[in-house]
Amino acid sequence: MRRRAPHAAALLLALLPAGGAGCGRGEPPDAACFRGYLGEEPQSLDPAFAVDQTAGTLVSLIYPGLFRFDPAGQPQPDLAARWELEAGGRRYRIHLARGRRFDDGTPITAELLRRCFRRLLDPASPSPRRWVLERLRGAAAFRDGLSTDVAGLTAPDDSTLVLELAAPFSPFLGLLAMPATRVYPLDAGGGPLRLNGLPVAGGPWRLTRWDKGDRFLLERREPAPPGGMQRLELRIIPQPFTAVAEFEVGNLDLLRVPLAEADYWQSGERRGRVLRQDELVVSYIGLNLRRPPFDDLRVRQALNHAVDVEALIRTVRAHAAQRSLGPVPPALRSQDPAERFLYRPERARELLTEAGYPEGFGMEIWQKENPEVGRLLEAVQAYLAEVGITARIVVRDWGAFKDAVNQGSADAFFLDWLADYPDAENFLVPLFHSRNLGGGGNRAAFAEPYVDILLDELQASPPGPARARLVNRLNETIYREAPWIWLWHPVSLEVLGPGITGYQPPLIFNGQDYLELRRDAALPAS
Amino acid sequence: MRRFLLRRLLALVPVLLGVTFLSFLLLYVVPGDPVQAVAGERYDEAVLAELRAELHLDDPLPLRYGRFLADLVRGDLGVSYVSREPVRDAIATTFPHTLRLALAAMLIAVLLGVGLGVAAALKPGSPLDRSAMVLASAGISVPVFWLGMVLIYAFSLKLRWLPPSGYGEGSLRHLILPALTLGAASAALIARMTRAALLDAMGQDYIRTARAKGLHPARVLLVHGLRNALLPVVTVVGNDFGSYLSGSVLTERIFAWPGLGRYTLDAVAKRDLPAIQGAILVMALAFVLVNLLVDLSYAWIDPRTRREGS
Repeated sequence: MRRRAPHAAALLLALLPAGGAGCGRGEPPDAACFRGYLGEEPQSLDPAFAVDQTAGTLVSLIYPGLFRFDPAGQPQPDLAARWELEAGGRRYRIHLARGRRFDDGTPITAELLRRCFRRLLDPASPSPRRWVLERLRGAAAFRDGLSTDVAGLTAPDDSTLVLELAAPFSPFLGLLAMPATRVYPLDAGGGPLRLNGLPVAGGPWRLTRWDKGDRFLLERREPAPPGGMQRLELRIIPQPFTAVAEFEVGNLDLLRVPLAEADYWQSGERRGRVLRQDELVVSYIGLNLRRPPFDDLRVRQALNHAVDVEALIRTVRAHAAQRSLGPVPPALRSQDPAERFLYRPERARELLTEAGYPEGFGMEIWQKENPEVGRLLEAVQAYLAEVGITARIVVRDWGAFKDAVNQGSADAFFLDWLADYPDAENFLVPLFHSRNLGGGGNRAAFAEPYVDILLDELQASPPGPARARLVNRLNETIYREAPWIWLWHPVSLEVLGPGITGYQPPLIFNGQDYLELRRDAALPAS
Repeated sequence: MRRFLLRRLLALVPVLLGVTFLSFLLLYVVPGDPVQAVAGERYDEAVLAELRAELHLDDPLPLRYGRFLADLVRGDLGVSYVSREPVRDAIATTFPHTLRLALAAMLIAVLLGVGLGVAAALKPGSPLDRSAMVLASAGISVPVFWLGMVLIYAFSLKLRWLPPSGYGEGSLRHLILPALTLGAASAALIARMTRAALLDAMGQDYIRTARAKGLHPARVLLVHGLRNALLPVVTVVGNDFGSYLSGSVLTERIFAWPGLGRYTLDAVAKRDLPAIQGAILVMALAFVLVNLLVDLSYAWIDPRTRREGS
C-alpha cells in the first residue's frame, strides 16, 4: 500500500491545470518548434542600443541586415544582392535584393537603410554602437555638428546604398553583419517601429510573443521545409543549473553546458554528444601599465611565469579552453609566438629580483561578482604567493568594477573580450591601440608607438598573406610585452536534444539563425 | 476604526517619502557609473557624455530628486536607462507574478506551519512533536538556494512530477516548487510559534473553563486555544509576506520566475536607477500595506486590542 502513495500524488499533480500549450509543451507536443534559452533578459531590442549578447542574438534573428554571419563566422549576403568595392577599397556600392519588405508591408529601401545608419551616428540618439560606422567619411563632422548629414552615406536610388570610408578597412563587411547595423521601419520618434508592443521586423524570424522576463516566441517568416523548425521558443533561464534540469527533463532542445557540469558531460557516453566550439573570446588578467610595478616589463613577464595556466585549464576550466598565446584566438591567426611563457616560478623570482622586488610586492586583482571567476582568482592568488606576491582579490558589482577599471584605479583585473566581428583586428586595435584607452577597450593602458603604427597598418591592409603575417607579428609582439597575464580562449560545450540535426555551434554569438535545424524524432508527450 | 485606518494611511506618505529620499541618496553615493551598463564593452567617452546628458545624470541631486517626485505625483516612475521602457510598465508586469508567488508561498506556509504546530502541541514530547520540530528546525536552517535545487532534483528530474522552472503561462504546476521553496522557512517558523503559543494558551484559565463546560476537545483547541495563539503567528505571516512581496530574489532566479525580485536584481546589477527607485518604492508600499493589514487583523483576532487602540 505504501508504494501507491507516489502514484496518487502524481495523479493529483497531473490534475492541476497545465497552463497554455506553450511551444513544445502541448498535447501533442509541437515538433516544429525549437526550444532554446537565453541567460538573461535582453537590454533592448533597438539595434542601436543592443550592446549585450542576448539582445544582439534576438535583434539578429528578427531584423534584416545587409549581411549576416553564418555559423563559421563568415558574412553572408542578406539584404545585399551584390556589391562592388571602389576607390581603392574605400567605397562599397551595395545593390539590395529586390522585393524585401517588413512585416507591416513597408518596403526595405536603400533610403531606409541610410536613415537607420544615420541614426546610429546621430548624437541626438547617442548609440553606444556609434563606433561601428564611425569609419564612414564625414561621420566625425556629422557627430560634431559640422555637417547635417554623413557624406559617406548615400542612397542614389531605392536599391543602391553607397558606403564610403575615410580609409580602407578590410573587415568592414563584418561590421555590416553586426546587430547594430540591422534595419527596421522607423516610428515617429525615429526609433524602431512597434505594433502591440512587438517590433515590426523583416528578418528570418517574426517575434509573435514576448512574455517579459519569461520567454520569446518567434515564427519563421517563410514556411519551414518538412522536419524543419517553424517556431522558436527562447526562454529566459538565468540559473545554469535550472537550464540543465530543463534539458534533462526534455523541455529544451539545446544545452550550453555550464562550467560546473563540464566534467560530467565530458565523461562516459555523454562525451560523444558534446559539441565543442573554440570561442572568439580571450580571457585575461589585465595589468594596469599606468601603475608601478606593472610599468616594468620584467614584472609583467614574472607574473606570466608565475601562473600555471595549463593546470588552471585542467581544473578551473575543466579542459574547456585553449591556452592563450596572445590576444588573437588561434582561429584568426596562422602562427603561434616562437617563445612561450612557461610555468617557471624560479624564473619569475629571478625577474622580480632583477626588477628590484626580491621580496615580491602587494597588489589588488579586481573582479566582477562571479563565483567561477572567484575560484580562478583564488588559484592565481596562490600561485602569485609562491613567488612572493601578495594578491588581494577585490570583488565589485559590474558597474563599479567597470568604472574602476576604465578609470585605471585597479592594479589588475579579470576580463573577457568577445569578438564583435570575426577578425584579428577586433582583438588588436580596440585592446592595444593607445587611442582606445579605458572604455575603448585598452583597459591595461598599453601604449607603444611602434605597435600603434603596425595597428594602423593592419586596419588599412587588404586581406591576404601580408595581412596574415602582420597579424602574427602583432600578436607575438604584444604577447612578449605581457600587458596581461595570458589565460585562455574558452571553448563552448553544447549538447543537443534527441533528434535535432542541422545545428552547428556558431563561431560568433549571432552566427546561428536556426533555419537549418530539423527534428528527426517525435517529441515525447509532456 | 475608520479614523485609525485613515491615520495609518496618512502616515504612509512620510514613510514613502523617506524611503524615496534615502534610496535616492544611497544610489547617488554608491560607486559605479549608470551609463556603463548602457554603453556595453566598447564605446568612446563622447558617447558616454552624451548619454549622461540625455539621462540628466549631470544634474545636481536636488534637481533630479525634485524631478522624480514631480513625475511620481503624476504616477510616472520614469524610464529605464537600460531598456528605455517605462518602469511603471515593467513593474506592472512583474509585480503580479511576485504577488502570485508570495500568496501561494504564504498559503503553503500557513497550512503546513499551523498544521505541524497544532499536531506537535497536541501531544508535547511525543515522537510526532519531536519529528515536527526537527522538520521545523531544518526548514529554518536550510538555505533557499539549496532547497530549491533539491526540490527541482527530486520532483522534476527524478520523479518527473513537476516542471523545473518557468512561469508556464500561469499554470499551477509551475507554481508549486517555487512556492514551496519560498514558503518553507516561514512554515517552519510558524510551526514553532504555533506550538509554543498553543501550549501556552492551553494552560490558561479560559481553556479550563471551556473544558469544564463540556465542549468538544477539538472545539476547545481550535476555537479557544488556536485563536488566542494566533497573534504571534499573524505577526510572522505579516512580516514574511511583506518580504516576499519585496521580491524573492533567489527563488525567482532559481525557478526562472519573471517577478519583481529578478527585475530588481537585474536593475541593481546594471545601475538602472529609475528601475531600482521604482522597485524600491513599490516594495516599500507593499510592505507597509501588509503591516497595516496585520495591525487590522490583530483587532479582529483579539478584540481587546481594538478597545486599546480606540
